[in-house]
Amino acid sequence: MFKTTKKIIKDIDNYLSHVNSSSVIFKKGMIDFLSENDAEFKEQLKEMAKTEHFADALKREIENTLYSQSLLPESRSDVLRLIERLDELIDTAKEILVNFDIEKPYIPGEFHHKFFELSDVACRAVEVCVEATKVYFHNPSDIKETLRKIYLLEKEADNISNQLKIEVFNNNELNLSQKMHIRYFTARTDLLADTAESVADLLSISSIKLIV
Amino acid sequence: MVILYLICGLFLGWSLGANDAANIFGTAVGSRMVKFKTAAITSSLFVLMGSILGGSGTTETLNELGKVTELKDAAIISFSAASIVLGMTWLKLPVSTSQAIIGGIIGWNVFNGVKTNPEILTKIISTWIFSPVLSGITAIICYLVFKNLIVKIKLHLLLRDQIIRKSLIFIGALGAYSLGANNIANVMGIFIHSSGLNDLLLFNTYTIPVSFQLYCLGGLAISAGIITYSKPVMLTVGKNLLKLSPEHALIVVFSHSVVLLLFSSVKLSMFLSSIGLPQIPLVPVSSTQAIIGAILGLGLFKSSSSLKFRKLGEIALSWVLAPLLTLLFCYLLFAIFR
Repeated sequence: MFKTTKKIIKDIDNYLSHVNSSSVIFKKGMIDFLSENDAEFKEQLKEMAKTEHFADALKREIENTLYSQSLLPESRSDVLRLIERLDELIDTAKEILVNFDIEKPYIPGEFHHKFFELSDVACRAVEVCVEATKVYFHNPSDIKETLRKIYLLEKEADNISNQLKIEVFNNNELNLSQKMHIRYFTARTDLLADTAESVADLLSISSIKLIV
Repeated sequence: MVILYLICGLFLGWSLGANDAANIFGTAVGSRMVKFKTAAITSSLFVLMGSILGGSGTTETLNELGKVTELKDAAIISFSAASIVLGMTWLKLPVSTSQAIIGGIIGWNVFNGVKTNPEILTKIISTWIFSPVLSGITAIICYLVFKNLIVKIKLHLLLRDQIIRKSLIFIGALGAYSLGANNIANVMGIFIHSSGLNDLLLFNTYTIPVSFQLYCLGGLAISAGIITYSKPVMLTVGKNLLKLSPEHALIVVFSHSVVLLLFSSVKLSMFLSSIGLPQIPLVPVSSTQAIIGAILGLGLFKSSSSLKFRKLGEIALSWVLAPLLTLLFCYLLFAIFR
């Protein structure tokens, strides 16, 4: 029984590594797209697809083991929901990069800095989510501080996103369709931080149940 | 006829197994942390061990309260106790086999005009109050230790889950042992001097005393109660007073086991006496009371708002009703059948 437990712990750790990797790939992908390094950007897309594939396989393995071995009967549903919510982080990061690849939005250089900043903050929120998940599994009573970091990062991402939108719509050189296109991608990038916030919300409730 | 009379005692043992084993493994089975099969095998095995190895201490105290020498009388006392236990269980009121049997013995004393030893009676009644209080205090201490341990060790949730599962079985085994050791007197104590059975000589070498034979029979009856009827009780236990998490269940069952062992261990009692401390009376205490005391202690310490006080009132009432009703019912039965 302990062998299965150790294996599933390893699987969860691996899964969290993939979530972390997805945020690193996402950040690199954004830099490559905005720097117009097409070959490298395509490489990041492939990497992201591979990461998502491995993460999905691990997710299924974790879900099957939790059910088949009747592990965590009291908090199984919370853990499964958490894994699903973390999966949304990978999916969102992948979807944003894929949309950049398909739609190739025109983003003038003056907005690049804000886009880098936004993607950096969103990625940091994802990384802190992984950290918070580890705290949830090991010491749920200490999770509040880590969750606070996620909420702060999400707020920061919202601020950057709003500033970016204001700057875009105040720009006289772009036409409305270009402005709306940039606004869409700003919102999509910000969505990564929002998804991180929803993971934090779930962790906040689930951890209360684990405190003895 | 001996068998028929003994069946009354065995019936009480069966109902004790069905109800009190649920106290030990109820939350573990109800929360699916431990399979019923594992719980049933572990508890029936250890209850039998406890009955055989540690049942003598409490039996003596019970016999000091009323030395029943007639098998028919013992059967009536047992039958009246079992009926009240069954009736109150049917009414979904927590009931103590220990209190019922003591009520029955007093009823027998009253009917026969035998004076009940006030010193022994006080000793027994004081344990009815002392055992849940002690169980509650033990639960609070265990809770504080356990909480600190969890914060310090920082085990992975899945490992913690596994360790709690194993501990629930281990502590459950200890609980079953202490239940057998402490409560076998309720089932077979009054038959010791009245059964009419003789010591058995095995292979012309080993003598099996009457008490051992009766403890085996009683232990088997309790085990039968666990295997045949404890499952539905286990699945509903723990939800009445306070919803318990597996961690809390571990603390509650451990506290219950400590209290039951304290009140049944001859060695511990002798040890305390040898170092000049007051002896712990060897009295069959109520397993239900010990469990409720632990839940109450834990609930009050954590947050009294989560406790169901109406249910608590019903429990307090049943603690008074059980011995009184058995006393009256036993008296009535003697008046009819004598």
